[in-house]
Parts: sequence; C-alpha cells; structure tokens
Amino acid sequence: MVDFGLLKRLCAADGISGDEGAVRRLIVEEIKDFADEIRVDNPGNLLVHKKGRQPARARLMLSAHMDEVGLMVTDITADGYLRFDEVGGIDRRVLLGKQVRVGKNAVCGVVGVKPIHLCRGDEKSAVPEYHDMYIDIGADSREQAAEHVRLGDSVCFDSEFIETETAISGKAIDDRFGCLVMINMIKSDLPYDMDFAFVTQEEIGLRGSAAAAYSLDPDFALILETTTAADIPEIDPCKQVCTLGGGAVVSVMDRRTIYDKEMTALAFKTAEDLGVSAQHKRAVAGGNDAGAIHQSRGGVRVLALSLACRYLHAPACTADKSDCESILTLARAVAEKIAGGCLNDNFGE
Amino acid sequence: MDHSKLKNMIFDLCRAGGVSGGEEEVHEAVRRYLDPYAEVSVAPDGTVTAVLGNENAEKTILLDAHLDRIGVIVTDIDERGFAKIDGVGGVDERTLHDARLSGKNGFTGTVCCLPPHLSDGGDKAAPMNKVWLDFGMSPDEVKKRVSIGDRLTFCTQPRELLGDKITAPALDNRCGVAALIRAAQLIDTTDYRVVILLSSQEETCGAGAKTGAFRVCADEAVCVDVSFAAQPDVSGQYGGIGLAKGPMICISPVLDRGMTDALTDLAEKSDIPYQLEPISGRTGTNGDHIAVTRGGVKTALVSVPQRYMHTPVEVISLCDVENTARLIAAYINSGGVQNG
Repeated sequence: MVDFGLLKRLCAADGISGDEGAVRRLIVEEIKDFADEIRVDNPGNLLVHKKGRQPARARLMLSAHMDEVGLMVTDITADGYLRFDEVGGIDRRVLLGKQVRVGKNAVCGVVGVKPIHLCRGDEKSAVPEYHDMYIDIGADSREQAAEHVRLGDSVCFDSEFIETETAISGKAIDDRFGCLVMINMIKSDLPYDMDFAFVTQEEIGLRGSAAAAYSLDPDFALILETTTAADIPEIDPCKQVCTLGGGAVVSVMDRRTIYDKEMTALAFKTAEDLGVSAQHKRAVAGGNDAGAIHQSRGGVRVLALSLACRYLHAPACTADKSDCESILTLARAVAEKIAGGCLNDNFGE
Repeated sequence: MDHSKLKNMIFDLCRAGGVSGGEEEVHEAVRRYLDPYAEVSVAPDGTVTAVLGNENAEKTILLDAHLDRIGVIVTDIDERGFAKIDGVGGVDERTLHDARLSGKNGFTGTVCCLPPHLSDGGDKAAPMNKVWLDFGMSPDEVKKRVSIGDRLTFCTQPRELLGDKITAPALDNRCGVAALIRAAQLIDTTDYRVVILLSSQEETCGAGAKTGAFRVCADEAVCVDVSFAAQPDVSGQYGGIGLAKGPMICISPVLDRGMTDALTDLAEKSDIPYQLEPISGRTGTNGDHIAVTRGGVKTALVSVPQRYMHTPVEVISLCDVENTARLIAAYINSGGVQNG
C-alpha cells in the first residue's frame, strides 16, 4: 500500500534543482535502517545499495529524481521586491497570485500582478514576462529584503498537499512519488540485490542521473517518474497523453528516449499477469532521466513507469491514488523479474 | 489595538467564504467579533446591520463596508465530473491557472491548465469561458457534493509578510469590515446613532448597500473599502500611495466636501497618517450608491491601501486598518462636521 502520509512529507520538503539537501536528508532518515550501503556522490545523488536474498542475475538500477521545479532569486529591486527566473520548465501563467517560500528560512512571499481594474485592453489577459514579474515579501527596501533573502536563493511553491478519497494534489509529486516507490522497496525484503539512485537536477537537463548511471554501471534501469496527463476539458483528445485512473504509464518513446522493447513488453505482460492497470503514454512528449541513463557508458536498457499527473510543474499537480498503487505493485514485480535475469538472454533479439 | 489581535480577526474573516450572494458563510465570524459591541441583525440579502451609539441621537451616521468577496459560480458539470465556472465579481483570469478554490462543503477544486511540456507557450490567460475545475473526485462523488450554482473562492491561506504586512485573498474587503468592527470598539458618542452596514453584493451590483442605506435613513455615511497602492507595475496616480502610510481619504465630486475636509483636519490634529485619493468622477465603491439614497446622504470614503487587488494574494499593512478605525471613531466621537 502507498504510504500517502510519507508522500505528503516528501512533497512538503523543498528541493528545487541544485538544492535537494532537505529532500535527501528526509529520504536518508527513512531508509537508513534498511539499506546496506548509502552514499552521496559529488552531484548530490543519493546512491543506495540494498542486498536481496540472493545476488542479482542482472545489475538493475532504479532511479527517481529528488528535485522539483521552482524559481531562483536573481535580483532585489530598490523597493525591496525580488526578481526571479524559473528553475526547470514552468508555464509562467501558473505563477500569478501564488504564495511562495523563499530561501533557507522559508520567507513567505507572493507573486503580485497589476490589479485588473488598472489594466487596459489586452493587458487584462496578458501574462507578464519573467523579467517583469516579482515576488513581494513585504520588504520596504533592498536593504530590508537583503536581511532575509540572498541572490540565488531557492523559491518553492507554498502549496498544501490535499488528499481526497480518490486523488492527491500538491507540489513536487513530480518526482517525490518516484522516490516514495523506491523507499517502499528499500524498506521491504527483496529477492535480489538492487541499486537505487535518488538523483538530482533532473528538471534542468537530466544531470544527476548521468553521473549516477556512470557510477552504478547497470545493465538495466527502471525509471520511476510522473508524466503529463492532460485528460482535461478543452483539450483535443489527440493531445491527451494518458488518463488518470488508467494505471501505470509505460513509455515507448518520448523527447529524450526510445525505450527498450522487451522491457516495455515485460511491463505490460507483468501488469496483465498481476491484474494491475497499465496504459501506454500516447504521445512523444516530455522526457525523463532515461534520456541520460540509456546513453551511459556502453549503454543501458531502460524502462520508465510513470504516474499520470494533471497540472505537472505547478503548485496543484493532481494524480489518482489507484494509479499510485498500480505503479507500486508493478514497479516491484518488474524490478524483481529484471534483477532475476528474465531479460538476460534475449538482448539483441 | 494589539496588531496580533487585529491580524487574527482579519485572518478569521478572510478564511470564511461569502462570495457575492452567499454572504451567509461569513456571518458567524462577523457576529463573533461584532456582537459584544452592537445590536446585530441580518437582512434576507445577507447584509449585516449593527447598531450602536446613542439610540435617541438626532443624527444617524452609516458606516458601510462590503461583506462579500469575489469568487466563482459553478455553471455546469460534465460527465467526467469537471465543473464549468463563471466569475462572480471582477475575477482576474490571469490568476486562475492552477488556482485552488474551495466551497462551503469543504471540497477543493483546481483550475485545469496544461503543463509546459504540452502547452502552446502562450502568454495569454485562458478566457473564463474555457475555465474548468477539477475536484479530484469521482464523477459520482462530484454529483453528490457539487451543484450548479455552488460558489467557490480562493482558498489560499492568510499569511504574515515582513513588517506588519499580511497577505490573503478577500482582504478586499474583509480588512474594511475589520476596520469597522475595530471602530465599533473605539466609538463613544452621544451625538450619533451609529449604524454599521456590512453590505452584500458590492462586487456584483451594490445591491446590499443600495437597499441597506435605504432602510437606515442616515444623515451621513462613511464608506470603507480598499484602494490601490504602488507596486512595481503600477505607476501614475497610485504610484505615490504606500502601505503603512495611512488610510486613503477620497476626494470626489460624488462625495461630501465638508466631511472629507473634516476627516483630513481630524487626521492632522490626531496625528493619524493619511493619504489623499483624488478621483475625478464616481468612486467605484458603495459610496456612489449611498450618496444618492432616498433624498441623498452626505458621504465620505476612506480606503485601506492595497496591492494586487482581486488576486488570491492581496497585500495590506495592519497599521492602515487600525488607523482607518481610529480616524472614523475620531470623526464620530468629535461630533462630525463642526459648524456644518
């Protein structure tokens, strides 16, 4: 069963790309009594080795990223407002009128906008460019702001984690959910040895995973991710990538990776055998750490299992709880089969 | 007043619902703070009336602050449980992408939007007629709990900023309501019968103030609302208005010059900071309606300076609310316009 309480805590931790420390500490705290080897490499990846009941027949790396999208303070105006830019891809239309947390002390701020009453014509629907946006922390001057905020400070969405009977919603589900699945596996009894990489800097170009894959040197990698659903009104069905409630999303191809055919087939076959829901990602869109991992060293065979999410990279990202359960079950089963060597013989077929 | 008490009152008022036409959701919070100081009653349209001062005084002064807040109303629910909405009051479409709104039954809806991976990268907010809410519930559950006509509003939590600034949705005009509740604590008069009117539906048409002022038969009125303060994208007239620099006293053709002058004189004498807000026509507040109620009511307008009006993150300074209350109480306690 998915521990949604733990997921809530994981999502509440602030960790934009390059500043994942708080997330890493929380994960270490969760797994330290269950892992056989824990190390943090130079890019900040948390690499965990867990011994199974027997040695693996194939080296399997599971990977999920710790970082989330957010903002970075780039300047402070004379009036005490913070200028910022995005860290990772954010549609800036989701920023206006949102609360944020700034820096290590989580200073409360808001992204302001010109009152609609004072806007004329097109201005009423035009969303300002990043360089015209600002965060108000209530400071009256640059000096006062500088007592609380430094240039380069990380900015996170201030967004409550909401759980309903069927859904979850909040910031950073991308990819704390993937982290949660790996934590769940590390805490359990595994049949074979496995490596788990909680990686950094996915959102700014799959950077942590490249180093992690080099260090772990796996034969296979299973990437646990979230992906864009877009199964919402006003969107042409041909643009809808996957469906909430449709089960684990299995990628064939995205903007970064063409996935291993046998691994993809194994995922669907395993889902069918277990009676777990799975669906194809129905568009070549987005990308994840598989893009870096599959090109590591002499090549790694990759599979991605993703959680279908609406409003990805926004404060109120929304996913289906039954999909979470499907992925938890399927990820474990597929990982056990791969580490058990079920794909060892058919390479190159 | 201790600003933390004032802050707590404003936060309580902002956490309550009360979108135009649904003001009953905020009545409990209002009565909790107002009952100790006045005779409180509620009209069928949701307007709250509170009477204090000298019941037998010759003069009646009306103190108005609108009680409603902007929000959205559910206009349709599709077969998958998504709800179509329209704005109630001047909702800013630019603040709706991925916004969370809640209704009185406790459910939360998220405004649907596309992620950057799939979006057209456009820089226009989606028009209201393309905006849908996602409740994160099964279609059956949505049918049970959500109805067409339900009102929702931003559920962004109130928070403190640096200094004595605060942020919350609905500070327009819950901080005006708080200023009048605070004024009720400070008013000590034999000259006036004082009627506080926390009026409904200002954001839509001003019905609560129009009908409420008719019932009150006041000689004078002071209207309290929020107005614009400087922020990085606001220049010109409001570029000089600051938070924590005092309430804004409006000068307008529709307002009474004598009352306006008396308020500025009193502010000078009582060391209450103030700022002038000249408006060359109607004010866009309930003051416009109240001034021409029945045979006419002498009306003044005092506003709390505010940034980011009609967004989920409106910002004000607590001291401006306290000074608004002090100014109005000083006016009443000193007997109003002298020789007027």
